[in-house]
Amino acid sequence: MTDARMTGSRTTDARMMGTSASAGVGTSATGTGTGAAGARAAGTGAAGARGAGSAADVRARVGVVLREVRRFARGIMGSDAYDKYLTHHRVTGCTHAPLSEREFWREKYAEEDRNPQGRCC
Amino acid sequence: MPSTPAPGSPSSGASDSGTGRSGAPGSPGAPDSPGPEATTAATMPPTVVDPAHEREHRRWTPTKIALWAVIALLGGAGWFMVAIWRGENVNAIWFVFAAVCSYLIAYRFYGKFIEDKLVRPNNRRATPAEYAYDGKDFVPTDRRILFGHHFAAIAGAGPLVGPVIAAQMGYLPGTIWIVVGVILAGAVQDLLVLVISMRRGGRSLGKMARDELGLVGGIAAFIATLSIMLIIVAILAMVVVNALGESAWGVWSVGLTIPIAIFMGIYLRYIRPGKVFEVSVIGCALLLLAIISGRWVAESGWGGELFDIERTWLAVAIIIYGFLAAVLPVWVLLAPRDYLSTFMKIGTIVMLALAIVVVRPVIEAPAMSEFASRTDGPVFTGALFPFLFVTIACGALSGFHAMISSGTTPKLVEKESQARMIGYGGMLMESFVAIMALVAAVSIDQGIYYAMNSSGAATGNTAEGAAQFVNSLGLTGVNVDAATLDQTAKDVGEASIVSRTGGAPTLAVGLAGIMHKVVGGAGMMAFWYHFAIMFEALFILTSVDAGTRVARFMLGDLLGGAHERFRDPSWRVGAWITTALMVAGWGSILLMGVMDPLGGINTLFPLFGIANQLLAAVALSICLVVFARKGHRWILLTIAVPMLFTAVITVYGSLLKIFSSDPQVGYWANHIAYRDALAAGETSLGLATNVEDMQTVVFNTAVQGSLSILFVVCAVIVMIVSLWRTLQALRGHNILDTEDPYVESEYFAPSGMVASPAEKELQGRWTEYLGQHPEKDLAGGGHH
Repeated sequence: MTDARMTGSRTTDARMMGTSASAGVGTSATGTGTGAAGARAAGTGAAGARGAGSAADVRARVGVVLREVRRFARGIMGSDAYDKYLTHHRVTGCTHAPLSEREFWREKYAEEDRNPQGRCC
Repeated sequence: MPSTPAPGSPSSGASDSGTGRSGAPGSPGAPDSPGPEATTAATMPPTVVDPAHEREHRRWTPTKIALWAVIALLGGAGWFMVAIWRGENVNAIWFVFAAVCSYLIAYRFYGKFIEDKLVRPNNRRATPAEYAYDGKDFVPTDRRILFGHHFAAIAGAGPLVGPVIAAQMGYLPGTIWIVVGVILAGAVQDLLVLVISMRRGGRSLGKMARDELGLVGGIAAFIATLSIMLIIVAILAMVVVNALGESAWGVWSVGLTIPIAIFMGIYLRYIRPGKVFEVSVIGCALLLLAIISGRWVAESGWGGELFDIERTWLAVAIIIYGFLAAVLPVWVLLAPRDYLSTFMKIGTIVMLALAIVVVRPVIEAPAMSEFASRTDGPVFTGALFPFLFVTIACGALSGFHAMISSGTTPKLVEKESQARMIGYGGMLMESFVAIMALVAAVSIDQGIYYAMNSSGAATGNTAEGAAQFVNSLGLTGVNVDAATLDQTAKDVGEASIVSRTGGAPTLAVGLAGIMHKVVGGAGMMAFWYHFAIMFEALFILTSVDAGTRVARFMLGDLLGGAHERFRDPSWRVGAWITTALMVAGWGSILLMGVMDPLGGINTLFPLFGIANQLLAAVALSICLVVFARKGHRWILLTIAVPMLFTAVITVYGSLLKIFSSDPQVGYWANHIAYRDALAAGETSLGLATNVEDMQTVVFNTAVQGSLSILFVVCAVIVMIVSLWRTLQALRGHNILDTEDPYVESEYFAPSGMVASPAEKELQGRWTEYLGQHPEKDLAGGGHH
């Protein structure tokens, strides 16, 4: 029972790796700032699919881990704010051109000036 | 919105009925099972996992039972060694076992109990991040990233300072309060405030107080919050002043953070916008350089002379800095400092945890010291009950967290069932930081501990004076000589460590003592000491800046009643006036503390703890009203008990500070003693050696006593109004529903740190679905 469940979750993992790569392609197609990351993701995803060879498989896995670490670090520091903004722009289907990265950050800091948030003791 | 049906109640909207109330949270029981239509890729998959599948996962298996039995046994062994074993000195590793196993059990069982019985999350209901999605403040954020984010926002200098000061009473009372307090009070408060704010579009605590308590309660909560914010900023600033006073190395390296932050700000604005991580790495490298170069500066004649600044002038410098930092645009100083502070915070805390496990230092302090049963401790005065419970605020129960739990975090949560992990779990992490600070403080020699933490008036600020004073305390096993104090000061690269009150330098000595065994050896002790000082000063200066801005904003809102323009944040004159007023507020308390003949920290720190805990009592009171109005009954005890306990310790503590006839404890008793002595023509009393000092004491105690009265009166008003509203709600009267209307969720995310197999399976379907419907992918391919 436990064994079966574990195998199940492992296959889910593998599927998620593949699909996250395809989501990356989707992002790069819209020409956003994450395009490069998306392309890299697609590359490693393809390697993972081909990867009967264990070296390629390991490399793909390391790639996935590194990308996750980067995503976490950027998320905690708030470095991904512009990506979030672009996603919002795409999802809501705004017709006007999005702000450039420079304009976006200026606007973001101006917003923080207007609405201060406390830090803890 | 009285017309809105009570969400979560069985009579409300069809989509909500029978979900929040009946199902196990995390898998709020869907009345209809997802069904086969969900397998078609184009149809939206369900937003909650199939309850049958989830129940299967939650069943107790022998492996799980064994795992929890091992955790319980390890925790029990830890507590036995910490609390009962009285053989050789205890090893710090037992503190880690006792705390971590207690946290795991509390998170899994008590946190889950509160979630099931009180919170009742409904994952079919959209969170503000989803229904108010704007790509900026409201964005569904990966729960694990949000956990890190929330933790970085709540953990500051507080949990590092309080436990150090409380170590005067021995390690046991502090350890028990930190662990038990967080489980039953602190983490509950953070979780519940997060939950009620999340159901109200991320509304702030102040706004919720007004909505729930009406005008009088709202105003009292406003005054309490504003004045508490000022006292907290003042005392945190005093911790920095005490750590940097007469320390050329510290002043140089902490001072350099200002140009480093400005450089980072310019880099982000003009050179490479948005490269936050990159600039943080550069900034961190520069910071290390600033610490290393401090030795050369301090040892050079000119540097030692130039940066060896008296504490009064440092306080003035921080006041000027606070004003400038708060009126400058955030990109110049605040934002880059925030990045540095987050970067250092997470890095250092992980490093310290690993170091404690690797080094396993031996505890030097007794379980209970003589001062646990006395009221005249040199570090802080007053009896264990209630003053230990207010001295350790952050780490056990911190009212200030209610500001973060309502505000930034609730706007980012993906699913209601994630609140336990972020709110409850985040606070458990902070508690662990407090335990590590306590371990660092109690692993240094007790003689050194008292020499560092007794006021300058007692030690005369000399190694000989300190040795004499510490030995005269008559504590068993505690003695120190001037040579040891001088040697320790030399080891950490300071001219003196005597009377470095405020907790930060003691923690820095403890941390240096642990870290140098892992990295660098004895030669690196001075580096680690200044690393720790820098790390704390960094948080505190960020808190000073941000706290001043928030206080200014609140004041502007208040003055807006008289002159509308004050509400406009882009009106520069208004911003300067309100900033100056708020800086004057905390600045005067800071100066008062720094120049206090009786020592400052030991008289003011209880005020800080009381203020913070009163805010916690206010936050818990508001939660009590909200959940009473949702129709809960006996389960309200999980809020009422910690609320009443906090109310008792803070109100009792305040009353002692106001009415105690013991001048060591009561502000007014001390005030009267000095006033009468002056009237009788005496020229010295206690630690004040001349008339001028005596006059300062008379003035300071009056201010401190008045602040105590202000806090307690405001908080008591809020608590009385809350209890009254709660009783009304229990009788079925005056039921308000202030929740935002129900919105059906079209989003899925797992609940816990690790996704369950059922969640993973569903997540896979969502990833496929979002691949075809990118317009629904609010997190932007964030479904990992």
